[in-house]
Amino acid sequence: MSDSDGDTSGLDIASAVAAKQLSAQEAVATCLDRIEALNPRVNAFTAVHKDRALARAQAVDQQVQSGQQLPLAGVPFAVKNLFDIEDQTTLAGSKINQQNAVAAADALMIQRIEAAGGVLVGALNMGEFAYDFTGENQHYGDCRNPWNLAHMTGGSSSGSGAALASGMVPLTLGSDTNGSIRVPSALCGTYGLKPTYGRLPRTGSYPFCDSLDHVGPMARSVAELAAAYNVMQGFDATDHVCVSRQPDLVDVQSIDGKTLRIGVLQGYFAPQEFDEATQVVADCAKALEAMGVALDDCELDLAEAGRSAAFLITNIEGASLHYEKILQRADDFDPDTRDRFIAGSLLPAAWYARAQRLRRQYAEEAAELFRRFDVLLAPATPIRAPLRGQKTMLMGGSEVNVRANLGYFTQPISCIGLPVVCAPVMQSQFGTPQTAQAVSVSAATPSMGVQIIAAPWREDLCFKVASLLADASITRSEVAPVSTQD
Amino acid sequence: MPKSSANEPTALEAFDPQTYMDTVAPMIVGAPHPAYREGVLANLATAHAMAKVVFAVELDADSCDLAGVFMPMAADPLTSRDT
Repeated sequence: MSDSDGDTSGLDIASAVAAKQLSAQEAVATCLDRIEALNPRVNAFTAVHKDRALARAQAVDQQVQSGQQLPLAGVPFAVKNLFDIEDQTTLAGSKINQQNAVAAADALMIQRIEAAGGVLVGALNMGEFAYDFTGENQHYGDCRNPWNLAHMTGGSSSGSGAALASGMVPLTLGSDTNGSIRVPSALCGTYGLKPTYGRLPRTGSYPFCDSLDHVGPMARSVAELAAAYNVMQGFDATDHVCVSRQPDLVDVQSIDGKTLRIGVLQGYFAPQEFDEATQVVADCAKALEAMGVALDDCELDLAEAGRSAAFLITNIEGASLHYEKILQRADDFDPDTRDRFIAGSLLPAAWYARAQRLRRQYAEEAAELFRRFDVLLAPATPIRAPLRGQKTMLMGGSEVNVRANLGYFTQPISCIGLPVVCAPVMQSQFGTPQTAQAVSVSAATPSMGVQIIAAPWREDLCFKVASLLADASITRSEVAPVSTQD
Repeated sequence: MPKSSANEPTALEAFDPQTYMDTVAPMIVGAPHPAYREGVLANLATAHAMAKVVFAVELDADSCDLAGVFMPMAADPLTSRDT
Protein backbone atom coordinates (compact mmCIF):
# COMPACT_ATOMS: atom_id res chain seq x y z
CA MET A 1 0.00 0.00 0.00
CA SER A 2 1.46 3.34 -1.09
CA ASP A 3 0.41 6.60 0.51
CA SER A 4 2.59 9.10 -1.25
CA ASP A 5 -0.41 11.42 -1.67
CA GLY A 6 -1.33 11.12 1.99
CA ASP A 7 -4.94 10.26 1.22
CA THR A 8 -5.02 6.70 2.55
CA SER A 9 -7.61 6.44 5.27
CA GLY A 10 -6.51 5.53 8.74
CA LEU A 11 -8.97 2.65 8.74
CA ASP A 12 -7.46 1.29 5.51
CA ILE A 13 -4.06 1.45 7.18
CA ALA A 14 -5.44 -0.38 10.23
CA SER A 15 -7.04 -3.05 8.04
CA ALA A 16 -3.85 -3.57 6.07
CA VAL A 17 -1.74 -3.78 9.22
CA ALA A 18 -4.19 -6.20 10.81
CA ALA A 19 -4.09 -8.34 7.66
CA LYS A 20 -0.28 -8.15 7.68
CA GLN A 21 -0.30 -6.61 4.22
CA LEU A 22 1.44 -3.55 5.62
CA SER A 23 3.53 -3.13 8.72
CA ALA A 24 2.92 -0.36 11.18
CA GLN A 25 6.57 0.56 10.74
CA GLU A 26 6.05 1.05 7.00
CA ALA A 27 2.92 3.11 7.57
CA VAL A 28 4.67 5.33 10.07
CA ALA A 29 7.81 5.70 7.95
CA THR A 30 5.69 6.88 5.00
CA CYS A 31 3.91 9.32 7.25
CA LEU A 32 7.19 10.70 8.63
CA ASP A 33 8.51 11.18 5.10
CA ARG A 34 5.45 13.15 4.15
CA ILE A 35 5.71 15.32 7.25
CA GLU A 36 9.35 16.03 6.47
CA ALA A 37 8.46 17.04 2.92
CA LEU A 38 5.42 19.18 3.66
CA ASN A 39 5.74 20.61 7.11
CA PRO A 40 8.23 23.33 6.17
CA ARG A 41 5.45 24.73 3.95
CA VAL A 42 2.42 24.15 6.14
CA ASN A 43 3.94 24.56 9.62
CA ALA A 44 1.43 22.20 11.19
CA PHE A 45 3.92 20.36 13.43
CA THR A 46 5.92 21.95 16.22
CA ALA A 47 7.64 18.66 17.06
CA VAL A 48 8.04 15.33 15.32
CA HIS A 49 8.82 12.40 17.60
CA LYS A 50 10.40 10.08 15.08
CA ASP A 51 12.22 7.71 17.41
CA ARG A 52 9.24 7.29 19.67
CA ALA A 53 6.95 6.70 16.69
CA LEU A 54 9.16 4.08 15.10
CA ALA A 55 9.59 2.26 18.40
CA ARG A 56 5.86 2.32 19.01
CA ALA A 57 5.18 1.10 15.45
CA GLN A 58 7.54 -1.81 16.04
CA ALA A 59 5.63 -2.67 19.20
CA VAL A 60 2.32 -2.55 17.30
CA ASP A 61 3.70 -4.94 14.70
CA GLN A 62 4.66 -7.32 17.48
CA GLN A 63 1.19 -7.04 19.00
CA VAL A 64 -0.40 -7.82 15.63
CA GLN A 65 1.95 -10.75 15.12
CA SER A 66 0.87 -12.11 18.49
CA GLY A 67 -2.76 -12.00 17.41
CA GLN A 68 -4.01 -8.88 19.19
CA GLN A 69 -6.97 -7.10 17.60
CA LEU A 70 -6.25 -3.37 17.43
CA PRO A 71 -8.89 -1.14 15.80
CA LEU A 72 -6.34 1.57 14.98
CA ALA A 73 -3.34 -0.70 14.32
CA GLY A 74 -0.50 1.35 12.89
CA VAL A 75 -2.56 4.51 12.39
CA PRO A 76 -0.27 7.53 12.70
CA PHE A 77 -1.79 10.41 14.62
CA ALA A 78 -0.69 13.74 16.04
CA VAL A 79 -1.97 15.99 18.80
CA LYS A 80 -2.41 19.69 19.40
CA ASN A 81 0.53 20.71 21.51
CA LEU A 82 -1.57 21.23 24.62
CA PHE A 83 -1.77 17.45 25.15
CA ASP A 84 0.95 16.13 27.43
CA ILE A 85 3.53 13.92 25.74
CA GLU A 86 5.78 12.03 28.12
CA ASP A 87 9.22 13.64 28.51
CA GLN A 88 8.19 16.65 26.42
CA THR A 89 7.24 20.14 27.52
CA THR A 90 3.58 20.96 26.90
CA LEU A 91 3.72 24.27 25.08
CA ALA A 92 0.04 25.09 24.57
CA GLY A 93 1.23 27.32 21.76
CA SER A 94 3.10 29.62 24.12
CA LYS A 95 6.62 30.84 24.69
CA ILE A 96 5.98 31.02 28.42
CA ASN A 97 5.45 27.28 28.83
CA GLN A 98 8.86 26.51 27.32
CA GLN A 99 10.25 26.79 30.85
CA ASN A 100 7.85 24.25 32.31
CA ALA A 101 8.99 20.80 33.35
CA VAL A 102 8.47 17.98 30.91
CA ALA A 103 5.30 15.92 31.19
CA ALA A 104 5.52 12.82 33.37
CA ALA A 105 3.06 10.86 31.25
CA ASP A 106 1.07 11.01 28.04
CA ALA A 107 -2.33 12.63 28.10
CA LEU A 108 -5.08 10.08 28.65
CA MET A 109 -6.44 10.51 25.10
CA ILE A 110 -2.99 9.64 23.68
CA GLN A 111 -2.81 6.60 25.93
CA ARG A 112 -6.21 5.38 24.77
CA ILE A 113 -5.49 5.82 21.07
CA GLU A 114 -2.12 4.12 21.41
CA ALA A 115 -3.77 1.29 23.35
CA ALA A 116 -5.95 0.83 20.27
CA GLY A 117 -2.89 0.59 18.05
CA GLY A 118 -2.40 4.22 17.05
CA VAL A 119 1.10 5.65 16.78
CA LEU A 120 1.80 9.19 17.96
CA VAL A 121 4.11 10.95 15.51
CA GLY A 122 4.23 14.46 16.88
CA ALA A 123 2.80 17.64 18.36
CA LEU A 124 0.85 20.21 16.40
CA ASN A 125 0.86 23.97 16.15
CA MET A 126 -1.95 25.92 17.82
CA GLY A 127 -3.01 29.39 18.84
CA GLU A 128 -1.40 30.62 22.03
CA PHE A 129 -3.08 29.09 25.10
CA ALA A 130 -5.96 28.08 22.78
CA TYR A 131 -7.31 31.64 22.81
CA ASP A 132 -7.58 31.90 19.06
CA PHE A 133 -9.77 31.27 16.03
CA THR A 134 -7.18 32.14 13.36
CA GLY A 135 -4.26 29.68 13.47
CA GLU A 136 -1.77 32.51 13.73
CA ASN A 137 1.03 32.16 16.24
CA GLN A 138 3.68 34.76 16.91
CA HIS A 139 6.06 32.34 18.63
CA TYR A 140 6.02 29.31 16.33
CA GLY A 141 4.84 30.90 13.10
CA ASP A 142 1.41 30.85 11.55
CA CYS A 143 -0.02 27.51 10.60
CA ARG A 144 -0.91 27.71 6.90
CA ASN A 145 -4.02 26.48 5.18
CA PRO A 146 -2.97 23.62 2.87
CA TRP A 147 -5.51 24.74 0.27
CA ASN A 148 -3.79 28.10 -0.01
CA LEU A 149 -0.79 28.84 2.15
CA ALA A 150 -1.59 32.56 2.25
CA HIS A 151 -4.78 31.83 4.18
CA MET A 152 -5.65 31.03 7.77
CA THR A 153 -6.27 27.51 8.94
CA GLY A 154 -8.61 28.64 11.65
CA GLY A 155 -7.84 27.85 15.25
CA SER A 156 -6.98 27.23 17.80
CA SER A 157 -6.47 23.58 16.71
CA SER A 158 -4.74 24.91 13.61
CA GLY A 159 -2.13 22.21 13.15
CA SER A 160 -4.77 19.55 13.76
CA GLY A 161 -6.72 20.77 10.73
CA ALA A 162 -3.73 21.50 8.52
CA ALA A 163 -1.96 18.18 9.18
CA LEU A 164 -5.11 16.35 8.06
CA ALA A 165 -5.86 18.54 5.05
CA SER A 166 -2.29 18.18 3.78
CA GLY A 167 -2.38 14.41 4.24
CA MET A 168 0.45 14.33 6.74
CA VAL A 169 -1.58 12.16 9.12
CA PRO A 170 -5.05 10.58 8.97
CA LEU A 171 -6.03 11.40 12.55
CA THR A 172 -5.45 14.29 14.94
CA LEU A 173 -6.65 15.45 18.32
CA GLY A 174 -7.72 18.97 19.15
CA SER A 175 -9.49 20.91 21.84
CA ASP A 176 -12.56 23.09 21.59
CA THR A 177 -13.58 25.75 24.09
CA ASN A 178 -15.58 28.00 21.78
CA GLY A 179 -15.04 26.42 18.37
CA SER A 180 -11.37 25.47 18.24
CA ILE A 181 -12.03 22.07 16.64
CA ARG A 182 -14.93 23.19 14.46
CA VAL A 183 -13.42 26.37 12.99
CA PRO A 184 -10.23 24.72 11.63
CA SER A 185 -12.28 21.71 10.54
CA ALA A 186 -14.45 24.00 8.44
CA LEU A 187 -11.66 26.13 7.04
CA CYS A 188 -9.29 23.22 6.28
CA GLY A 189 -12.02 20.89 5.03
CA THR A 190 -11.93 18.11 7.64
CA TYR A 191 -14.34 16.44 10.02
CA GLY A 192 -14.22 17.30 13.70
CA LEU A 193 -16.09 16.15 16.78
CA LYS A 194 -16.75 18.39 19.74
CA PRO A 195 -18.34 15.91 22.10
CA THR A 196 -20.79 16.61 24.91
CA TYR A 197 -19.15 18.59 27.70
CA GLY A 198 -17.94 16.01 30.19
CA ARG A 199 -17.88 13.11 27.74
CA LEU A 200 -14.15 12.80 27.01
CA PRO A 201 -11.72 13.30 29.88
CA ARG A 202 -9.33 16.18 29.49
CA THR A 203 -6.77 14.53 31.72
CA GLY A 204 -3.27 15.55 30.74
CA SER A 205 -4.29 18.43 28.52
CA TYR A 206 -3.35 22.03 29.26
CA PRO A 207 -6.48 23.92 30.36
CA PHE A 208 -7.88 27.18 29.07
CA CYS A 209 -11.38 27.66 30.46
CA ASP A 210 -12.59 24.88 32.72
CA SER A 211 -16.27 25.66 32.26
CA LEU A 212 -16.07 25.23 28.49
CA ASP A 213 -13.03 23.10 27.58
CA HIS A 214 -13.58 19.95 25.51
CA VAL A 215 -11.19 17.62 23.71
CA GLY A 216 -12.02 15.69 20.57
CA PRO A 217 -10.82 13.96 17.40
CA MET A 218 -10.47 15.27 13.85
CA ALA A 219 -10.23 13.16 10.69
CA ARG A 220 -10.95 13.07 6.96
CA SER A 221 -13.97 10.78 7.14
CA VAL A 222 -16.92 10.09 9.39
CA ALA A 223 -15.80 6.49 9.87
CA GLU A 224 -12.32 7.49 11.04
CA LEU A 225 -13.78 10.13 13.34
CA ALA A 226 -16.12 7.54 14.86
CA ALA A 227 -13.36 4.97 15.25
CA ALA A 228 -11.23 7.44 17.17
CA TYR A 229 -14.16 8.64 19.26
CA ASN A 230 -15.04 5.06 20.22
CA VAL A 231 -11.62 4.32 21.66
CA MET A 232 -11.34 7.72 23.36
CA GLN A 233 -14.46 7.24 25.49
CA GLY A 234 -14.55 6.18 29.10
CA PHE A 235 -14.82 7.79 32.51
CA ASP A 236 -11.78 9.21 34.25
CA ALA A 237 -12.19 10.69 37.71
CA THR A 238 -9.12 12.88 37.32
CA ASP A 239 -11.12 15.29 35.20
CA HIS A 240 -13.70 16.65 37.62
CA VAL A 241 -16.27 17.38 34.90
CA CYS A 242 -16.01 13.97 33.25
CA VAL A 243 -19.31 12.15 33.69
CA SER A 244 -19.35 8.50 34.66
CA ARG A 245 -21.07 6.80 31.73
CA GLN A 246 -20.53 3.66 29.78
CA PRO A 247 -19.07 4.39 26.35
CA ASP A 248 -21.76 4.93 23.72
CA LEU A 249 -20.05 3.29 20.78
CA VAL A 250 -20.91 4.60 17.34
CA ASP A 251 -21.36 2.23 14.43
CA VAL A 252 -21.70 4.28 11.27
CA GLN A 253 -22.57 1.18 9.25
CA SER A 254 -25.82 0.50 11.09
CA ILE A 255 -27.51 3.77 10.53
CA ASP A 256 -31.11 4.46 9.64
CA GLY A 257 -31.41 8.18 9.51
CA LYS A 258 -34.69 8.32 7.65
CA THR A 259 -36.75 8.69 10.80
CA LEU A 260 -34.80 11.65 12.08
CA ARG A 261 -36.35 15.06 12.61
CA ILE A 262 -33.95 17.84 11.72
CA GLY A 263 -34.18 21.51 12.61
CA VAL A 264 -32.44 24.10 10.46
CA LEU A 265 -31.41 26.92 12.75
CA GLN A 266 -32.51 30.36 11.58
CA GLY A 267 -32.34 33.78 13.19
CA TYR A 268 -28.91 34.26 14.76
CA PHE A 269 -27.56 31.39 12.64
CA ALA A 270 -28.79 32.73 9.28
CA PRO A 271 -27.70 36.34 8.90
CA GLN A 272 -28.16 37.68 5.39
CA GLU A 273 -24.62 38.93 4.99
CA PHE A 274 -23.20 35.42 5.32
CA ASP A 275 -25.23 33.93 2.54
CA GLU A 276 -22.48 31.53 1.53
CA ALA A 277 -22.45 30.02 5.02
CA THR A 278 -26.23 29.74 5.12
CA GLN A 279 -26.22 28.26 1.62
CA VAL A 280 -23.98 25.46 2.86
CA VAL A 281 -26.60 24.58 5.46
CA ALA A 282 -29.45 24.94 2.98
CA ASP A 283 -27.73 22.53 0.59
CA CYS A 284 -27.27 19.98 3.36
CA ALA A 285 -30.92 20.37 4.40
CA LYS A 286 -32.09 19.96 0.82
CA ALA A 287 -30.09 16.77 0.42
CA LEU A 288 -31.46 15.33 3.65
CA GLU A 289 -35.01 16.21 2.66
CA ALA A 290 -34.50 14.39 -0.61
CA MET A 291 -33.59 11.31 1.42
CA GLY A 292 -36.92 11.49 3.21
CA VAL A 293 -35.71 13.09 6.43
CA ALA A 294 -38.23 15.43 8.10
CA LEU A 295 -37.01 19.02 8.22
CA ASP A 296 -38.26 22.29 9.60
CA ASP A 297 -36.83 25.69 10.43
CA CYS A 298 -36.30 26.60 14.07
CA GLU A 299 -34.58 29.15 16.28
CA LEU A 300 -32.59 29.31 19.49
CA ASP A 301 -33.67 32.66 20.88
CA LEU A 302 -30.87 32.80 23.43
CA ALA A 303 -28.06 31.98 21.02
CA GLU A 304 -26.66 35.50 20.94
CA ALA A 305 -26.85 35.78 24.71
CA GLY A 306 -25.21 32.37 24.99
CA ARG A 307 -22.42 33.44 22.72
CA SER A 308 -21.94 36.56 24.83
CA ALA A 309 -21.95 34.51 28.02
CA ALA A 310 -19.32 32.18 26.57
CA PHE A 311 -17.19 35.19 25.65
CA LEU A 312 -17.27 36.55 29.21
CA ILE A 313 -16.72 33.19 30.90
CA THR A 314 -13.77 32.42 28.62
CA ASN A 315 -12.21 35.83 29.05
CA ILE A 316 -12.48 35.77 32.82
CA GLU A 317 -11.51 32.13 33.47
CA GLY A 318 -8.63 32.30 30.97
CA ALA A 319 -7.37 35.51 32.54
CA SER A 320 -7.57 33.96 35.99
CA LEU A 321 -5.53 30.96 34.86
CA HIS A 322 -2.76 33.20 33.54
CA TYR A 323 -2.99 36.01 36.11
CA GLU A 324 0.48 35.60 37.63
CA LYS A 325 2.09 35.33 34.21
CA ILE A 326 0.34 38.49 33.09
CA LEU A 327 1.82 40.26 36.11
CA GLN A 328 5.31 38.87 35.65
CA ARG A 329 5.84 38.15 31.95
CA ALA A 330 3.34 40.19 29.98
CA ASP A 331 5.77 40.77 27.13
CA ASP A 332 6.21 37.05 26.59
CA PHE A 333 2.59 36.68 25.49
CA ASP A 334 1.35 37.21 21.99
CA PRO A 335 0.03 40.81 22.19
CA ASP A 336 -3.50 39.78 21.17
CA THR A 337 -3.64 37.17 23.91
CA ARG A 338 -2.02 39.43 26.49
CA ASP A 339 -4.43 42.31 25.99
CA ARG A 340 -7.44 40.02 26.28
CA PHE A 341 -6.10 38.42 29.45
CA ILE A 342 -5.42 41.82 31.01
CA ALA A 343 -8.95 42.91 30.17
CA GLY A 344 -10.34 39.63 31.47
CA SER A 345 -8.53 40.12 34.77
CA LEU A 346 -10.45 43.34 35.31
CA LEU A 347 -14.00 42.28 34.52
CA PRO A 348 -16.58 42.38 37.32
CA ALA A 349 -17.54 39.19 39.11
CA ALA A 350 -21.18 40.12 38.58
CA TRP A 351 -20.73 39.76 34.83
CA TYR A 352 -19.18 36.32 35.22
CA ALA A 353 -21.87 35.04 37.58
CA ARG A 354 -24.63 36.35 35.36
CA ALA A 355 -23.08 34.70 32.32
CA GLN A 356 -22.92 31.37 34.14
CA ARG A 357 -26.52 31.69 35.31
CA LEU A 358 -27.69 32.39 31.80
CA ARG A 359 -26.30 29.07 30.58
CA ARG A 360 -28.92 27.13 32.53
CA GLN A 361 -31.81 29.04 31.00
CA TYR A 362 -30.29 28.74 27.55
CA ALA A 363 -29.69 25.00 28.01
CA GLU A 364 -33.35 24.61 28.97
CA GLU A 365 -34.39 26.41 25.80
CA ALA A 366 -32.22 24.02 23.78
CA ALA A 367 -33.67 21.03 25.63
CA GLU A 368 -37.14 22.18 24.66
CA LEU A 369 -36.05 22.38 21.02
CA PHE A 370 -34.70 18.84 21.21
CA ARG A 371 -38.22 17.65 22.07
CA ARG A 372 -39.11 18.60 18.50
CA PHE A 373 -35.86 17.78 16.72
CA ASP A 374 -33.22 15.08 16.93
CA VAL A 375 -30.56 17.15 15.25
CA LEU A 376 -29.99 20.82 14.46
CA LEU A 377 -28.00 22.22 11.55
CA ALA A 378 -26.04 25.48 11.57
CA PRO A 379 -23.08 26.96 9.71
CA ALA A 380 -19.63 26.49 11.22
CA THR A 381 -17.97 29.73 10.18
CA PRO A 382 -19.35 32.96 8.71
CA ILE A 383 -16.84 33.02 5.85
CA ARG A 384 -14.16 30.90 4.22
CA ALA A 385 -10.58 31.11 5.44
CA PRO A 386 -9.44 34.75 5.65
CA LEU A 387 -5.97 35.76 4.58
CA ARG A 388 -3.31 35.35 7.22
CA GLY A 389 -2.85 38.71 8.86
CA GLN A 390 -6.38 39.83 8.01
CA LYS A 391 -7.67 41.67 11.08
CA THR A 392 -11.26 42.49 10.23
CA MET A 393 -14.27 41.19 8.37
CA LEU A 394 -17.64 42.68 7.53
CA MET A 395 -20.59 41.84 9.74
CA GLY A 396 -23.87 43.70 9.77
CA GLY A 397 -22.34 46.46 7.69
CA SER A 398 -19.52 47.03 10.16
CA GLU A 399 -15.94 45.89 10.25
CA VAL A 400 -15.49 43.47 13.12
CA ASN A 401 -12.52 41.60 14.48
CA VAL A 402 -11.77 38.36 12.61
CA ARG A 403 -10.12 36.76 15.62
CA ALA A 404 -13.27 37.01 17.71
CA ASN A 405 -15.88 36.42 15.05
CA LEU A 406 -14.74 33.32 13.20
CA GLY A 407 -16.39 31.55 16.11
CA TYR A 408 -19.64 33.45 15.76
CA PHE A 409 -21.63 30.28 14.96
CA THR A 410 -19.70 27.81 17.09
CA GLN A 411 -19.53 29.71 20.36
CA PRO A 412 -23.25 29.55 21.21
CA ILE A 413 -23.27 25.76 20.82
CA SER A 414 -20.31 24.91 23.03
CA CYS A 415 -21.63 27.40 25.62
CA ILE A 416 -24.14 24.73 26.66
CA GLY A 417 -21.98 21.71 25.94
CA LEU A 418 -23.96 20.23 23.06
CA PRO A 419 -22.23 17.56 20.92
CA VAL A 420 -21.39 18.62 17.37
CA VAL A 421 -19.89 16.95 14.35
CA CYS A 422 -18.49 19.61 12.04
CA ALA A 423 -18.57 18.33 8.46
CA PRO A 424 -16.78 19.95 5.51
CA VAL A 425 -18.54 21.17 2.39
CA MET A 426 -16.29 21.89 -0.57
CA GLN A 427 -16.56 24.78 -3.00
CA SER A 428 -17.93 22.90 -5.99
CA GLN A 429 -20.94 21.89 -3.96
CA PHE A 430 -22.45 25.26 -3.25
CA GLY A 431 -23.39 28.37 -5.15
CA THR A 432 -21.48 31.41 -6.21
CA PRO A 433 -20.97 33.79 -3.31
CA GLN A 434 -23.04 36.94 -3.48
CA THR A 435 -21.57 39.42 -1.05
CA ALA A 436 -18.48 41.50 -1.56
CA GLN A 437 -16.74 40.21 1.49
CA ALA A 438 -17.45 36.62 0.55
CA VAL A 439 -16.09 37.26 -2.94
CA SER A 440 -12.92 38.68 -1.46
CA VAL A 441 -12.04 35.37 0.11
CA SER A 442 -13.89 32.89 -2.04
CA ALA A 443 -11.29 32.08 -4.64
CA ALA A 444 -8.58 30.91 -2.34
CA THR A 445 -9.85 28.11 -0.12
CA PRO A 446 -12.67 25.76 -1.02
CA SER A 447 -14.15 24.62 2.23
CA MET A 448 -16.72 25.70 4.76
CA GLY A 449 -18.49 23.59 7.32
CA VAL A 450 -21.84 22.58 8.68
CA GLN A 451 -22.42 21.97 12.38
CA ILE A 452 -24.51 18.87 13.05
CA ILE A 453 -25.75 19.38 16.61
CA ALA A 454 -27.58 17.02 18.95
CA ALA A 455 -28.85 16.93 22.51
CA PRO A 456 -26.29 16.14 25.23
CA TRP A 457 -24.95 12.56 25.05
CA ARG A 458 -26.43 11.97 21.58
CA GLU A 459 -23.23 12.08 19.55
CA ASP A 460 -24.62 9.04 17.75
CA LEU A 461 -27.23 11.24 16.09
CA CYS A 462 -24.56 13.69 14.93
CA PHE A 463 -22.71 10.77 13.37
CA LYS A 464 -25.91 9.49 11.74
CA VAL A 465 -26.55 12.74 9.93
CA ALA A 466 -22.87 13.20 9.08
CA SER A 467 -22.88 9.73 7.52
CA LEU A 468 -25.99 10.46 5.47
CA LEU A 469 -24.45 13.65 4.11
CA ALA A 470 -21.12 11.97 3.41
CA ASP A 471 -22.75 9.00 1.70
CA ALA A 472 -24.56 11.45 -0.55
CA SER A 473 -21.24 13.24 -1.22
CA ILE A 474 -22.69 16.49 0.14
CA THR A 475 -19.88 16.68 2.66
CA ARG A 476 -16.43 15.36 1.92
CA SER A 477 -12.85 15.88 2.97
CA GLU A 478 -9.97 15.77 0.53
CA VAL A 479 -6.22 16.04 0.75
CA ALA A 480 -5.06 19.42 -0.55
CA PRO A 481 -2.41 19.37 -3.27
CA VAL A 482 0.30 21.15 -1.32
CA SER A 483 3.34 21.95 -3.41
CA THR A 484 6.73 21.35 -1.88
CA GLN A 485 8.09 24.17 -4.05
CA ASP A 486 7.66 27.94 -3.79
CA MET B 1 -26.83 52.09 46.96
CA PRO B 2 -28.58 55.25 45.75
CA LYS B 3 -31.93 54.89 44.09
CA SER B 4 -31.81 55.81 40.42
CA SER B 5 -34.37 57.77 38.50
CA ALA B 6 -35.80 56.51 35.23
CA ASN B 7 -33.72 59.03 33.28
CA GLU B 8 -30.37 57.98 34.66
CA PRO B 9 -28.34 55.40 32.75
CA THR B 10 -28.09 52.00 34.34
CA ALA B 11 -24.73 51.06 35.76
CA LEU B 12 -24.13 48.83 32.77
CA GLU B 13 -24.91 51.62 30.32
CA ALA B 14 -22.67 53.97 32.26
CA PHE B 15 -19.73 51.61 32.01
CA ASP B 16 -16.88 53.42 30.29
CA PRO B 17 -13.92 51.19 29.37
CA GLN B 18 -11.28 53.87 29.76
CA THR B 19 -12.53 55.16 33.09
CA TYR B 20 -12.96 51.62 34.32
CA MET B 21 -9.49 50.55 33.25
CA ASP B 22 -7.79 53.59 34.73
CA THR B 23 -9.66 53.13 38.00
CA VAL B 24 -9.57 49.38 38.45
CA ALA B 25 -6.41 48.16 36.73
CA PRO B 26 -3.95 49.75 39.21
CA MET B 27 -5.58 47.72 41.99
CA ILE B 28 -5.63 44.41 40.10
CA VAL B 29 -2.92 44.14 37.47
CA GLY B 30 -1.25 47.55 37.70
CA ALA B 31 -1.70 50.32 35.19
CA PRO B 32 -1.33 48.75 31.76
CA HIS B 33 1.82 49.61 29.83
CA PRO B 34 1.06 52.34 27.29
CA ALA B 35 1.65 49.86 24.51
CA TYR B 36 -1.08 47.61 25.89
CA ARG B 37 -3.74 50.24 26.49
CA GLU B 38 -5.39 50.24 23.10
CA GLY B 39 -5.76 46.46 23.02
CA VAL B 40 -7.04 46.26 26.57
CA LEU B 41 -9.55 49.02 25.97
CA ALA B 42 -10.80 47.33 22.82
CA ASN B 43 -11.32 44.11 24.74
CA LEU B 44 -13.07 45.86 27.60
CA ALA B 45 -15.39 47.48 25.06
CA THR B 46 -16.15 44.10 23.51
CA ALA B 47 -16.74 42.54 26.92
CA HIS B 48 -19.07 45.40 27.78
CA ALA B 49 -21.05 44.81 24.60
CA MET B 50 -21.28 41.12 25.49
CA ALA B 51 -22.36 41.89 29.05
CA LYS B 52 -25.18 44.09 27.78
CA VAL B 53 -26.51 41.18 25.74
CA VAL B 54 -26.26 38.84 28.72
CA PHE B 55 -27.95 41.24 31.14
CA ALA B 56 -30.73 41.95 28.66
CA VAL B 57 -32.04 38.44 29.25
CA GLU B 58 -34.49 38.23 32.11
CA LEU B 59 -33.54 35.16 34.07
CA ASP B 60 -36.02 32.82 35.68
CA ALA B 61 -35.96 33.11 39.43
CA ASP B 62 -34.91 29.51 39.84
CA SER B 63 -32.33 29.60 37.08
CA CYS B 64 -29.42 30.12 39.35
CA ASP B 65 -26.97 27.24 39.26
CA LEU B 66 -23.43 28.13 38.39
CA ALA B 67 -21.24 25.82 36.34
CA GLY B 68 -19.78 22.75 37.90
CA VAL B 69 -16.47 24.43 38.53
CA PHE B 70 -16.01 22.70 41.83
CA MET B 71 -16.56 19.10 42.75
CA PRO B 72 -15.93 17.70 46.23
CA MET B 73 -13.21 15.08 46.16
CA ALA B 74 -13.45 11.86 48.07
CA ALA B 75 -11.00 11.57 50.92
CA ASP B 76 -8.56 8.74 51.16
CA PRO B 77 -10.08 5.81 53.03
CA LEU B 78 -10.32 6.51 56.73
CA THR B 79 -7.80 4.72 58.85
CA SER B 80 -8.16 3.78 62.49
CA ARG B 81 -9.23 7.17 63.79
CA ASP B 82 -12.27 5.75 65.61
CA THR B 83 -10.54 2.82 67.22
